[in-house]
Amino acid sequence: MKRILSKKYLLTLTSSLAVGTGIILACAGDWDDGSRLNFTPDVFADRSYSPFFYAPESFYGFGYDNKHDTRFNESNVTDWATYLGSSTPRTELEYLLQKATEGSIDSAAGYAAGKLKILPGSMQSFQLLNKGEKKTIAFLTYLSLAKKTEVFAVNNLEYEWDYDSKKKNPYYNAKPLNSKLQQEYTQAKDPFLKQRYWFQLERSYFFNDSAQKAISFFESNEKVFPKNELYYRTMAYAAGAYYKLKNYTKANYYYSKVYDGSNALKTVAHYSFHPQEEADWKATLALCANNEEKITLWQMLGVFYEDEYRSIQEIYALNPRSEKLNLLLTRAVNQIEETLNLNSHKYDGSDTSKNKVIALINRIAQANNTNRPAMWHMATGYLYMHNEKYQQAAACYAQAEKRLSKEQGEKEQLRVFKLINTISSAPKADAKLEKAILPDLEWLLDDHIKKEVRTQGATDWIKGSLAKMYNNQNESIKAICFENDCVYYTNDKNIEALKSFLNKPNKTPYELLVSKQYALKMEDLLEYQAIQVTYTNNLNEAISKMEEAVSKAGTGTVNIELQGNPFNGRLQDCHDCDHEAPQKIKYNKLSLLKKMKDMQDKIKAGTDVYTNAMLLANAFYNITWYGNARAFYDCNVYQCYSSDAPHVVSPPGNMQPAIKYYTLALSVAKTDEQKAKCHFMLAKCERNEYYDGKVVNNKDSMYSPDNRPDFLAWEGFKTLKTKYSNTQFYKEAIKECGYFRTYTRK
Amino acid sequence: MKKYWGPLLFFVLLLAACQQPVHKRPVSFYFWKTQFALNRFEQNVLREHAVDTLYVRYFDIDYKPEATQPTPVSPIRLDSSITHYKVVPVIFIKNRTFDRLQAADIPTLAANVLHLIDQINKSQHLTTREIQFDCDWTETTRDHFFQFIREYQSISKQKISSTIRLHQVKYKERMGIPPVDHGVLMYYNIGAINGDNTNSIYERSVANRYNSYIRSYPLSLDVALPVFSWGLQMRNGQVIDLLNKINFTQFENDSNFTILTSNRYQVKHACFKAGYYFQPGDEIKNEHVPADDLLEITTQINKNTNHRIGKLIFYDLDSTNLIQYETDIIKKVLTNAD
Repeated sequence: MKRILSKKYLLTLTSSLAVGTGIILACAGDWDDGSRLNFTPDVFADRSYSPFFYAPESFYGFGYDNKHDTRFNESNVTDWATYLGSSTPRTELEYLLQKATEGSIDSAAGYAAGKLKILPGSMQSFQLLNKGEKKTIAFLTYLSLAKKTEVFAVNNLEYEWDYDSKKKNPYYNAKPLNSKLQQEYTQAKDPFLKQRYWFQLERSYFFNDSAQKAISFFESNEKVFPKNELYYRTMAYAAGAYYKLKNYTKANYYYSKVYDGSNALKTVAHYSFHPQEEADWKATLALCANNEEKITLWQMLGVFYEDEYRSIQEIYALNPRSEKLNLLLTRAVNQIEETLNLNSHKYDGSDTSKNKVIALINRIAQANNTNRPAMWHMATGYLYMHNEKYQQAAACYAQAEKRLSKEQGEKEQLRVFKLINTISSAPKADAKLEKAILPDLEWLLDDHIKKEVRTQGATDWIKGSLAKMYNNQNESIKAICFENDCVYYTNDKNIEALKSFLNKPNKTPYELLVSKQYALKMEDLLEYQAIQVTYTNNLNEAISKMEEAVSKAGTGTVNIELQGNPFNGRLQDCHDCDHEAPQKIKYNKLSLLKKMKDMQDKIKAGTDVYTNAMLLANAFYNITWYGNARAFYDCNVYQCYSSDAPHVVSPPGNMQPAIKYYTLALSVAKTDEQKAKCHFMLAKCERNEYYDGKVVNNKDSMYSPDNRPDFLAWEGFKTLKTKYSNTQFYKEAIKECGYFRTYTRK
Repeated sequence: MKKYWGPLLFFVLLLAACQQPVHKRPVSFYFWKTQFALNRFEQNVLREHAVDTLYVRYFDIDYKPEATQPTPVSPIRLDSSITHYKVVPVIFIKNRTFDRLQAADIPTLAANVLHLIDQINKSQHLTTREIQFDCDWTETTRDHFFQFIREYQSISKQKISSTIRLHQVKYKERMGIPPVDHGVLMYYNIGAINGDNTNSIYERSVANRYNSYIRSYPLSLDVALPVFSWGLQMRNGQVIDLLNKINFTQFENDSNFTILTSNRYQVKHACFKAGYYFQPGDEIKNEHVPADDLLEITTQINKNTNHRIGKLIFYDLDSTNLIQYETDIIKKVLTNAD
């Protein structure tokens, strides 16, 4: 996941013919929201900062901010409901504010004021409009003007392919509207209404009048209004006006106030805050009335420009107890985590830029003078753990324990870190360790217990560590339960041992926990064993195992219906043709095995040996990778992954059972046509064996166009050509099979 | 009176000889900003070289991870000065769009694109007769991209061109040939953007790996030439940002930066500069294509195509790019290309 453009830049990025694609994100589609990182921002930092919790791309939790037209829908309804009285139905307000057209609001306003007799159809049942109260009239008067502003203030982003609806009318004459807004603003006595008209007029000035006018109107009136969300919405337009005038100092100062004052506008401030030169930035700092305002600016710099180190230093110097440090610390730790190998979790201590961050966190932790001292100790301990300094980590956690806040999440975070430390520092996974970690492990791995702390990364880490230790101690069953690995299934003894463990009655509490971690089920193992013995032509055992699997399984791979007729044998393998062809009898794994066994029995009894041998050979052929019934071997064990090799359990390509029965058919064949067919089928088997050895099981040759196998003449081809060229089958084969045709013409 | 005709005729002939040579090859520019407006400098460049056609980026198309369909990104705003030129709309399609797009949804996308171009044209009463698609398609997306082109062709009945990157020329068997009327060979962005000692925009040794394949490419080709520059901002050996449209001399006169080499600067103190933020230790590398390299590119292209190349299109029309060259650079390149 290589990223070369900063997050802030990505948000505003349009393409460049020069840049092209592919360099912004080296692999798209693999969305990483950062939640696998262990140091949990949700536990330490205020939720209002959640868009800025560390995520490798864009905003945490929701990606991109596309709420430009809908951000205040909820709060508008709530504000008006408060103004109009708690009995006002929300649904009516939602309709009027968000859906009703300008014309219908005008009609409703006329009706409420007694000037019109009929309400628009869509509003006839509205309780609000039938009251005729003063406040309702004031609301509708306001709303009728507010709707008029949508022509320039709304983006209509939902119609993205519609150019005209996005386009703000450059010829819009705002004078009549502004004059009406000004009039209502001046006359309004109610502070709620007055502030809303103030906002509307400020926004209209921003879009339709000079930037200076918007600034003056904001600044000459702002002192009388409460510092609520609407105040900061208004201020954001004044900030934008400063930005238009290229007064970045003032624009950024205002954006910092907007960022700090309104949670809903934090992402907007992030998008807009943009110092151009160092002088702008210094001048903005100089405008700050107090240290808290400076701290906000430093937090914005740290988060938006990813210089957490500098921000932490500056904020700590201004006020060590500032809660704004918390977000920065979580980001700093998450960024270090992100660069570490997910499997090893190791940091070798060689990166100077990481080291200086780690040293700073350590220094602040030691001073114990922040508002969440336990958090700093946990961060230090956590980073020590990555450096394999488990004793120091334990000491940090002990310090953290003494200073824990009452926050549940903080306690949980410490519990997770201590558990990781205990496991990571243990020389081996013996009974003593198992006993020590059992309660915490049960808590961590039980999904039914709700937790505030992140557990995904820690769970993977702990399971991986335990699996590694058990593997080293030759306790492969425990290892496989904690971390599934294909290699394990290559030996049937392992599977039997695992089955015994899973079936064991009276497991110890630790064994019970271990068995619950196993990724697969008993029926998966039985199904896999049944499939394996099928290829050894042991159909009795295959049937017995498959029956057992079916009896345990609900709906699973064991009950899959095979798509084509597995007894078909073609000149050319064509799975799609077989799958599309009409089929009287549909087979699943078990019914196929039983039918094959039936044929085997008939062959033994000497009944119609040629036909039964041919059909049985076709079935053995079709259940391999080359045949039309690949679904036969598809099961959960095959889908597992190994860290050593992705496909240790390679798709079955064993041709021996098919060869056995084609050869048998050949031996009893009476006509040349029958014999010709047997030779051709045997040639196919020979070809498949060649590919299996040369291509499938030879990883060097895969995907290499330079290493394609040469044209080869199979034994079956030779025999066909020399002995059976007079048969109808031969002619058919020449017509259907280009490979064979080429051979015959050589 | 008659006796004066001789010298006069000579003088007229002399004047004619002094006039600009008529170049065989037409020249054009890409316009790659979201608001169409040209400053005096840019207008002069177009007039001086008799440029009558502009390749104008209309919008991008992206299929963002959180989106449920591909959407246009930053459609251009035109002003009336665009009507002085013939316009070829260029649509940049992010490759990941075709990774996610289902084949069944290709006709809808084509119709949406046609409709949006039509609306943009209507905003200035423009008529366009050709369209260019710019997509760094890959083996996995080529079928959908090509299908999209066919679909667009069937509903628009317009001439369609496509940008072609050098690797798509070299590996044409795998990458396929887009079903377009002609291509524009993007003769730049050939190296990895990693801040090493090679130039990611143009490096002769890298280009040489591709040159011999141009001749056999089965589409007639125009050529896009790079006259842009950018800065690479690097931290801990990784490129973290591209600094576009930036004047590098400003780093030389700022005590927050030290000069490492002729095209590299290092940040001494954290600071904002030109709208970008720099941390101590960051490195900035200036990459651009010097005049000599532009001439070399045209020499190579002629050599490798038997002069069978169409127009030259410079990327991109912006005075901040062009002032970095001598004023006669376009003429020199054209003369060299003839």
